[in-house]
Amino acid sequence: MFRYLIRRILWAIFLFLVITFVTFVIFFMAPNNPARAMCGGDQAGPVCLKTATEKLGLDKPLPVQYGLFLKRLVWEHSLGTSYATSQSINETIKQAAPVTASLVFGGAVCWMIIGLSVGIFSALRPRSLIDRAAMVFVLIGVSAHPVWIGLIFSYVFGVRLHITPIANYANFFGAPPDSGLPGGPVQWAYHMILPWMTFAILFAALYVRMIRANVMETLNEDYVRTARAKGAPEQRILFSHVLRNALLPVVTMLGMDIGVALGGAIFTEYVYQLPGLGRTSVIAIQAEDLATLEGVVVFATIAILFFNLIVDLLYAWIDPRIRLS
Amino acid sequence: MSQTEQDQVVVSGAAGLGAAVATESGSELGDPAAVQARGYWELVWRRFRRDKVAIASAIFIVFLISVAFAGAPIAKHYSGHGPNDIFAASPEIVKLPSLLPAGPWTHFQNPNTGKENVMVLGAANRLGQDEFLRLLYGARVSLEVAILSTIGVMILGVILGASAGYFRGTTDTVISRLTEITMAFPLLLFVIALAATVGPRLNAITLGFFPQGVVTLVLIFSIFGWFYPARIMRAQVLSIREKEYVEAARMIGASDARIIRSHVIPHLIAPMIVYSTLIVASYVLFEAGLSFLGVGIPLTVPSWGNLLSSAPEYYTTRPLLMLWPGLAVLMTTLAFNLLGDGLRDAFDPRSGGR
Repeated sequence: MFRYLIRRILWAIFLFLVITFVTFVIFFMAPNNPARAMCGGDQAGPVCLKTATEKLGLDKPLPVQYGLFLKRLVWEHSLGTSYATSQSINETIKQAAPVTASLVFGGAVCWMIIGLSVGIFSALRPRSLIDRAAMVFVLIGVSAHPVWIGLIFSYVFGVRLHITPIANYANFFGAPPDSGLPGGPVQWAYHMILPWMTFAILFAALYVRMIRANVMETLNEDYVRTARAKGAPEQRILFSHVLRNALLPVVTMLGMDIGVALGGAIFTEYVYQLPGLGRTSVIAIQAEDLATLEGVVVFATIAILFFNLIVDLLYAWIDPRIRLS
Repeated sequence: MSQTEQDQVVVSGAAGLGAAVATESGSELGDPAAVQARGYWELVWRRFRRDKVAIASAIFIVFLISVAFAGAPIAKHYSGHGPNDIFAASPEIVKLPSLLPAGPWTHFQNPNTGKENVMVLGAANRLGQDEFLRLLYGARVSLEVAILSTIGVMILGVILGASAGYFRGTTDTVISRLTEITMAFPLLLFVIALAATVGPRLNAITLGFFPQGVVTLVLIFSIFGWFYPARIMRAQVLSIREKEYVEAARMIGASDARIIRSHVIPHLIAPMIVYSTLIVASYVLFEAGLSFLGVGIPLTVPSWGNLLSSAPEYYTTRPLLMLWPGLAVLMTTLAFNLLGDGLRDAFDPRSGGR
């Protein structure tokens, strides 16, 4: 186990270096000059340009710049400052990450509830009315665009029926005083319910399909027949023989998909104007603020690598065959 | 496909083939002359033919392609104006002072020709461009991006995945590691960043035929999408290369090139076709998403994502503008997904499907 752990951690560090380097090179190749953005775009004076270039270290060769970037990241835990607003990027991400986290984890809870209940039920009653309805849901869920689902939801539930708010985020721990913004857990959930549903539909569809297939396959295994033959009650067969085996791959999928979902959150955040990481990066693109965009990409990479590492270790702990191979 | 249909397919595909053929051809049972040998492709076609949903999807896709490439210019000819023509000055089209675009079926005087024209689905934005024509021309952009990206992804993925599986050893290690690295990227964020930084430089490349931005998206999608088919192909080839017929071919002295050509590739065609159909759907969604965020196809070019991104502006006043591009995307992805499912069942009746 220990050797496996070391190997996975070394691989994660290597991946981190590769990804940050590629990110860095791509931003280095970008057509817009950060020094110009810092000096106010087109009206940039030559003196300001020169000092800004030196301050950002843009006159140094690429590997040196990458080294400095890495040094700042590892020793000072700093992602730098925004080109457009001169705000600390760490601060920006600290504000945006909880929004994305509540969207992704809340969404994951939603899609797991839908996926497990619908998936298991339709596997137990194949070709029933509910199973057919579930399959139609799966088809539409994987085919409809999340952005479009979001727009339709907010139009129907927000604009037409006035049931839910259609935009903005409410802080879970209460809004900052004097801001006039809604806050607290109830407002938080109330503002997040549509984004969660929108975000969950695609994954719920994928999980219903996967869980249904897994459970149906496990139901045909020999050990299920053996358990039935020796007279085990149906409930016990379902919980200790079928679900325990059928849901093991779902655990791995969930860990990997939460990483993927971090990226997919962009659309939902953009539609509902949630100030999360995705919306921050889209706004950064519009402002040509590449430093912030780079900060978000690096942060997301670290988060995904961390998740994948945890899932790998959890899975190796659950299933000994993995760490031995 | 319903279960009874599928059962029939399985029966005719396997044990009861002779009987089914005999009944169909109307000759007496057991007459050896009536039993024909059927090739692999013929069997696949016979199974596919009975899947009504898949056939309907295939017909719809053919219809969509002809609408995108032939129908759009015809519609342009008959409506008297083009998808990029701006009618911001016509009071019937862009209502003053709210700058509200016109609703469906609006007649107006075309200031360029002086004739009376009609906008079938109304205007798309405050420039007064025709929503219907932009939808039709948007189909072309969506299909080009999706189909070309799929081709690019499949070429890279099949070559890399198949050679990793066939040659094993160092090749396999390098390609598998490369796959793992690509998979660890925060893909969507990265594609967005790339489209925003490199995109403006590449958007000018049209190769004289494609609308602006298509080539950029195809390149980006191909570079970051190949790993998934590569993994599938690697797994397939790993199992094929251990089969007895490959061993036999090697024993009689066949070269690697010959084994790949006549013993490996034919077995890869079915998974390639099925998988390509399914990922076309995901690239249609991807293009619309990127254009919606403003980093895909440039706003001046009609595309479904661009239509979707300008729609929320008229959220309460013209909600139908949200509906059309979304429906177009839904129908297209649904058709490709259903066709893919149908093809998978036709190629491998045991796969179960539904």
